[in-house]
Amino acid sequence: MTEVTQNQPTHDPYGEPEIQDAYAETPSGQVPSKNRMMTPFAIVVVVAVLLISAMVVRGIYQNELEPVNDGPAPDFSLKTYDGQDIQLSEFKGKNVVVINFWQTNCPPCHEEAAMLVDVYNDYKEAGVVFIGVNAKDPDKLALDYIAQYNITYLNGLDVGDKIQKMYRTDGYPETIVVSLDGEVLEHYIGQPNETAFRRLLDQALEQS
Amino acid sequence: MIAELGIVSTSLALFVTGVATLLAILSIVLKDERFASSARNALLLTFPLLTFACLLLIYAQWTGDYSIEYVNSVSSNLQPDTLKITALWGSQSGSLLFYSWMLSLFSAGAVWFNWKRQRHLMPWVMVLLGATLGFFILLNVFYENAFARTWIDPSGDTSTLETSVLKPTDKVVAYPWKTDFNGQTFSDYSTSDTIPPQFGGVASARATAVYDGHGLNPLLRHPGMIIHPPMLYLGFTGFVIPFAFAMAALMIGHMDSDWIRAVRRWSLVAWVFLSIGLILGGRWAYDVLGWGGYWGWDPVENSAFLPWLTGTAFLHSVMIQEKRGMLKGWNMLMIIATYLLVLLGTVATRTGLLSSVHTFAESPLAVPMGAFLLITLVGSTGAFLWRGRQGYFKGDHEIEGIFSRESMFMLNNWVFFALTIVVFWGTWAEKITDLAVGAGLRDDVITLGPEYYRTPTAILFLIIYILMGVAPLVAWRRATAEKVGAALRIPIALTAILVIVLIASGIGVGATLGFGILAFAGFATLLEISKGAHARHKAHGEPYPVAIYKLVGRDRRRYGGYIIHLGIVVIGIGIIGSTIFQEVTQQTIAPGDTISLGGYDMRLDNSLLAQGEDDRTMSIANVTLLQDGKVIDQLRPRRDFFPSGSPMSIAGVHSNVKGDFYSLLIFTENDLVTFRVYWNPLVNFVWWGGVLLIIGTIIAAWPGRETSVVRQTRRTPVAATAAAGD
Amino acid sequence: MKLFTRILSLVGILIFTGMIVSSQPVSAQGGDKYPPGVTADDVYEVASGIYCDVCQGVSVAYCPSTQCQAWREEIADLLGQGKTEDEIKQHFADRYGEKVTGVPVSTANRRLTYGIPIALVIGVGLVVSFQVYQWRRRETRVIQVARSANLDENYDRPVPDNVDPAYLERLMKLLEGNK
Repeated sequence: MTEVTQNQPTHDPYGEPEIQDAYAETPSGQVPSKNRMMTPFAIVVVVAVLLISAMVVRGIYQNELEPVNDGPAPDFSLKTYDGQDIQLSEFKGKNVVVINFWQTNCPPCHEEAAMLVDVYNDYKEAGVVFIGVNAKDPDKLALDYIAQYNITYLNGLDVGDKIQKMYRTDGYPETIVVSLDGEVLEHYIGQPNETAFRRLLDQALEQS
Repeated sequence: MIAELGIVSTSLALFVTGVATLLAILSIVLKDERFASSARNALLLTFPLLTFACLLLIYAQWTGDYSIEYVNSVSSNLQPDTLKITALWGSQSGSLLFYSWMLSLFSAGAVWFNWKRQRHLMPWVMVLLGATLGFFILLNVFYENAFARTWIDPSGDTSTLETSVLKPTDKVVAYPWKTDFNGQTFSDYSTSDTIPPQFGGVASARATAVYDGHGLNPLLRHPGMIIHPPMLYLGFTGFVIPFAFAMAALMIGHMDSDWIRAVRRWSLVAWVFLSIGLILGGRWAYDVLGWGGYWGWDPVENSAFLPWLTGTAFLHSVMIQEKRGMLKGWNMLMIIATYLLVLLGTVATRTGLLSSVHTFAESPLAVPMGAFLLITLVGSTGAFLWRGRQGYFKGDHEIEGIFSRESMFMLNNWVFFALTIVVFWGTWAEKITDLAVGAGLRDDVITLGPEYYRTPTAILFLIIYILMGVAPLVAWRRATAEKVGAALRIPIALTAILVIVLIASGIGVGATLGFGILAFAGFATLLEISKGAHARHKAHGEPYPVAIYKLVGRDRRRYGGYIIHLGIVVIGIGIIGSTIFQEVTQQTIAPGDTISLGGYDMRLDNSLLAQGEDDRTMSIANVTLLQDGKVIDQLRPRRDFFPSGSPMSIAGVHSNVKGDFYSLLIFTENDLVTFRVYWNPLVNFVWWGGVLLIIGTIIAAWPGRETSVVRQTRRTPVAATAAAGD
Repeated sequence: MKLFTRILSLVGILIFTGMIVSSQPVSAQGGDKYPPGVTADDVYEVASGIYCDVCQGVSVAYCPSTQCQAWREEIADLLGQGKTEDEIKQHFADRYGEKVTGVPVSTANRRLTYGIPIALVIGVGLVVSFQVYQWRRRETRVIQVARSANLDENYDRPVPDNVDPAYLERLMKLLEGNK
């Protein structure tokens, strides 16, 4: 034990960094040389650091983003269960659009379904378009659900969760109201309050 | 009172670490010893302060002080006593406090034990430890305070509950602690559903808010979960010490083996805790998650596995530096990478960056933790490159023979590097490809699941097993194929016999190859030990057990390492057996019917419903296990339902050397019961190998006198090489 | 305002967790309905290679959520129609995104999945091999110098790599001449 302690390097901990012993007595007494191989190696390290930093920063930034609740509504296309191909931008300037995200095994979706159908029936004449976006359901279940609640508005599967990602939804149900000029007016998380929902649609229609 | 004490002690700990860091910096700037000593004392003080804070929180959980939001969320009156304690690490803020406590434990340990020997490194070590510890306590105090309380409007309006550390001006504390209700406590009424009448009026409303806690997440109410997080955290936090020494060595520019000597044992300690954490995590998944497996390549598991891989690589390559003074830069990089992966894993799992079953929900920690990670990442690699450019990593020797122990170690490190890349890419592919999406290069991200990992990791681990058998027989500096070949003759012969037997038994190509390679590694290792024992037996006439004991005692590091290798071989047997030969079936049967699998017959006797000692309802099946018509065991697979959270399946397991008969109750309808039954051959080898691994590490890391080899290395590297010439 | 957003997010979390809880009713998993001729074991064989969002790291075969139950029934339907495992995986990838299959099903993405780690590992391997080759060349030269000087083979100090190779040559010649 003592021997080890005695053998301690006698560096002054606060002194200038010393040149290592191994180099102190090299024939020419040179300082450590530039290590040439550090270069490709250094590039690998720098690239890795940049990549990981970018990955972490973007990851945290994405996580911190709020659901899309204002600004222009991201455009998407949807193939409905009855085979139509629709595009959100088609409705711009013509209709107020309500986008509803749903899934058959989400109880709140079942709870709000009848209300959505009611509101749709009241507003379709006035030019409000409803688009139901289904998340992850097999077609059979989705069609059963549509039949069960007599849903007549457009409905289709969100292939690969792309639309949910665009609107940064967090679950189901979520409902988004898009104005005539294609702006997101409201992003309801959970069931919308029916009165407020109708009032918002009225206001959106008044704009025209 | 508890909450106030907790807030004060954590805040004090924060202040003290801040002081320690500043003093350590001052000691470097002013080159004054006295500041370093003060910094040391300050750093040591954080440990009792945080210990006190942890004990306070445990006390609050024990007694049910539900005014503290954290206690409310993880503890409940009905919770078993053990879980009231272990709830300390049951959720975000408490586990963060626990994490900081472990950091302070390691920091105090490092300055205490290494103070004299690594005196010259200490100022920088303290700066790094102080800053890291300070950061985590900062999170505790300002972002996720475990002592934050729930406050309520004095009128008793429970709709305006608010949770904060400091008392809001217009609110009172929701649970007025013990004595507010004529000396009676809530826990006296804990089992009743209604608030007792004497707590009527305002008090009643105040009480309802915090009448009882929610209790621990059901999935975490498992013995494995009691011990798995502490082990994993010990592994995670433990790697901060090697990192701090490495950075200190970089900063003062002493690239000799001194810092290596300081951190070797610390990294072994961290490594073994990480290993135990991983194994226990596997055990927990096996028992609780109900899919008959123990490793799901889940992002959280991977986050702990990545530092294990680089840490293992470091523990091997560090030997080259000790013996030959080579690979100084590589070792430095490995220890930095290990710590960065620890941090990345911590950030990823605590902020929900990688979503997973384990993650805590969206967290205010994301930004500060991300920032801390980036500072550490850029700072440490920057310092590394800076010293590298100055040529500080130039080795004392360079490689002499292409075929030598050195090259074997380098090959080993390359394979571990490959494993790290494979697992890292698998874990982070989604985020990496999301960068490409952001840059407009791709439309969609790539998300990878367990399927991705199986083949590449299997191949790479088999290469590691081959190296494990060969490398210890290869001489340092320069080896000859003849000598190594001669040493390998017996293991190869034994393996050949085994392979012939395996082929004859017709278990398939993959399994034969896998078991063959494992057997080779195992035989080669056993032979190394037996050779030494035999030599002692001959030379000293010691009986074999004594010879083995003395042999291991003489070079604990080497033989401890061999035992770890054997442990890894045993784990490998378990993994191959339970992966390739697993059988599974799901069937619905009526009482009296049987399910046959893996040579067993499982007969359903009856099924029933029962109430658990906490808030769970249990659906239980009584089944009899028969083999060749003879009753060999009674099992009770059950499924537990909780008022909140998903149900949990508790398997009925019959365990023996051959494997586990593992039955899960999936569903009951009238008296029909649906079971999923697994036959998991050899799965217990995984746990036994884990035990062997722990024993080996204890042998290798047990503190004792420095061996003569090391002392000689200090004086003359030449003599050391000769003495170690194995 | 901050409080408001907090409450809002809290409500969101509550709804979300409520959904998770409510999507796992008592009947989960046992209540699967499969068409005749398709056994639970057939379904599990395929489902154990498909993953959902609810249970990460645990495949659809074992995930207790109702969404996974629906998916298992969809798998059973497809099996009943005589689809193969690969076809079913393709079907799921087409509908729910490639992430559900663990490894991408499309050739391009699959190549990328395995190409990136392989390229990285080989690339770094080449850099290291080159480094070892260089080390070995230098070390050999040092040993030659040491040997010709009749020094102990266990030379003590490395020759720094910034010594002019021409100087080393001269030194070696000189030492040989002295013999």
